[in-house]
Amino acid sequence: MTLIASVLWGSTAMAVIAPESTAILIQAQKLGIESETEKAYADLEKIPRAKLVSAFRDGLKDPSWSMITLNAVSALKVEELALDLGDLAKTRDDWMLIATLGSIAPETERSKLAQILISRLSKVSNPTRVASLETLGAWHQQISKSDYEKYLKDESFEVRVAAVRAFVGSRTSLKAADQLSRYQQAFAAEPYTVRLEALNNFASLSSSEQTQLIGALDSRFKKACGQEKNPQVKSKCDQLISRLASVKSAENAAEKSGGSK
Amino acid sequence: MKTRLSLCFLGLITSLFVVATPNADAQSVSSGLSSPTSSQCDSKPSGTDAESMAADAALKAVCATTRKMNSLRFECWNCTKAGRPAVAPACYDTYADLYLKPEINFSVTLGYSDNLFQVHDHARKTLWIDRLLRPCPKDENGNEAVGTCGFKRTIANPDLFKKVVRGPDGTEHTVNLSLKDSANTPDDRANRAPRTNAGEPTAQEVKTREAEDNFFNGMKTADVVIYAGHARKGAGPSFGPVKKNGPFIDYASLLKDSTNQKRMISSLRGDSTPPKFVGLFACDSGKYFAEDVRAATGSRSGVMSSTGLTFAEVAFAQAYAAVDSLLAMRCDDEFTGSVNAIGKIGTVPQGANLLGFFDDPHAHAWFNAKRDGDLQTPSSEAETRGPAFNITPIHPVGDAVPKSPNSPRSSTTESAN
Repeated sequence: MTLIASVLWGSTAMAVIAPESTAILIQAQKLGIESETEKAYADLEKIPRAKLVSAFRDGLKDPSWSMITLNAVSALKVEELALDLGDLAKTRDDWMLIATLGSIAPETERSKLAQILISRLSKVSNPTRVASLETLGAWHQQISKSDYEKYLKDESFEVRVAAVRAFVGSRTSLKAADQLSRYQQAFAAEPYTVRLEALNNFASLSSSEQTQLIGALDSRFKKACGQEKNPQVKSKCDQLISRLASVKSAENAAEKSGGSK
Repeated sequence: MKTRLSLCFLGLITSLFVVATPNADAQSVSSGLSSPTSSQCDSKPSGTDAESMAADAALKAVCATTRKMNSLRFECWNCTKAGRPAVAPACYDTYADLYLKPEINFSVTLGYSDNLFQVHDHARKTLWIDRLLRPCPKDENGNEAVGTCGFKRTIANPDLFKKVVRGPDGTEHTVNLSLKDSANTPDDRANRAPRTNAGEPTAQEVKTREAEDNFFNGMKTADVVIYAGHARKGAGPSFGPVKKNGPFIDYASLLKDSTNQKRMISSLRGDSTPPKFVGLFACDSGKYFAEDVRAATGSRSGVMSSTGLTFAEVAFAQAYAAVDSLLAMRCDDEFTGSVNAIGKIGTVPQGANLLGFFDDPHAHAWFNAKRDGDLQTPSSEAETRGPAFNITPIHPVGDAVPKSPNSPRSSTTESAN
């Protein structure tokens, strides 16, 4: 009885890819091949959007077409499927799904979708966790202090770097003291790739932001730089210190000349 | 029509599977995307009545689909098995040559894998690393598998992975695997951001230089060089953002210079010993690069390359399978079979072809040394494999091997992290 019911359920409730959708997916697969991308893109752009969305919605449900579909959804920026991908992200551990979601989600949906990614962070595999943290950073969505600290010490070095990316992406939504504290934690982390990630970001800030943040950190930062063993990080660190020093001396000089007037 | 029918069948068997496993996630049921666990896939038939048999058949079919899907995520189900796969006689010279030195260097570079706006080599590198660091499976005798498992990495150089393996003669060798990716972020536009401080390279430029060093220096010094990424229509392997016309690659300008193709070939010329194995997994890399690489090495390198258009996901999986096969010392068809396990994606066949690795023993240094009298001339059939070689019984890949003093142990040289 159960079997019969399931057969009936299977034949009616399961998604079946319509021939029209299959034809679109066959065209879409060419987007994943370097030399065919341009022509495939042009061909797919001619198809009415509603048909594309419907075909891709079918493709997402079929494991055989899932990878091709995700690639196409990202290439054609099919924003209409952001919520579908968000739903799938609740149960699927798939880094490509998250990367695709990251590239298409409209700004208005991001904070809701970010909650799904955050709730799944501890349950997914490392590649998916990396993709999720990078997506949160790109969306300027904060992760909690405890998550930041946890992932900065994760077994996977790649997750540690991604945690820094999540922080720097949402940095401006934090108070200066919290920013400084998170930078400090990253500057003290292992391996060097984590420190370099934080330093590269710090170096890209404006001088005024740097001096505002680094003021309280100056002596410790200098000491850490002096003890740095990795040549790449050391060189970046030294450059930063000398730049900050020249900014400070210029400010002092300006103050002096202002004061002497 | 055929597709429709087969998809209908998939829907049917998925629903059967869901009914057969009442604990299945409710969300999976509604989306029709149930994924059985490997223990469910390996479970024995639940009964002999018609309903149980139908449910078992359904489970089997769903497992097969799941495995195929997972193969694209480097889940090479038949690649790394416990027990020592002793090298077959036909390939003995090849592996004796590969495992000639105490340290064997693998250079693996994941190229800049952009697709319009996204670049994915970052996540793929994480997948590789997870696989390299996982513990090796063991058989019932405690023999560890040999392959892409059990590596250790250090904090000082997180892109270097080490592992001790046994060569075909049973002696220990340290494998140093240097793994680099090329994209700084998954966003191609962000990677193209200009320099902000005069004279200081961007993070992407640094990343590109490191990937190039890994690949081109690997061509000069490593024993095995692997590349997975774009072929840029023959302009060469690619390690960073290239010139675009709108969202598309400007092939005309790329092909005018073909800088990386020329650099790859020139890295192989000269007095340096070429790699013993070069794997180039990229669209039509067989057509664009294989013969030039073979010629530049005087046919001393085995070259594996893609036979047609290749999806990036497949190229990365094939590169992984090639490394796994070299470590497991797979021979001939087993080697090419494991690299070609995926078959096709959608409707596009995915293949890779191997030139001159197994079929030209005179290309191998060990063979040449023997010919030139540097090694003792063997006096019996058993010794034709070389006097220093300790011959072990031949077992098919994956068969349990009796425990012996020569059983491989993938011991570690450094502590994890």
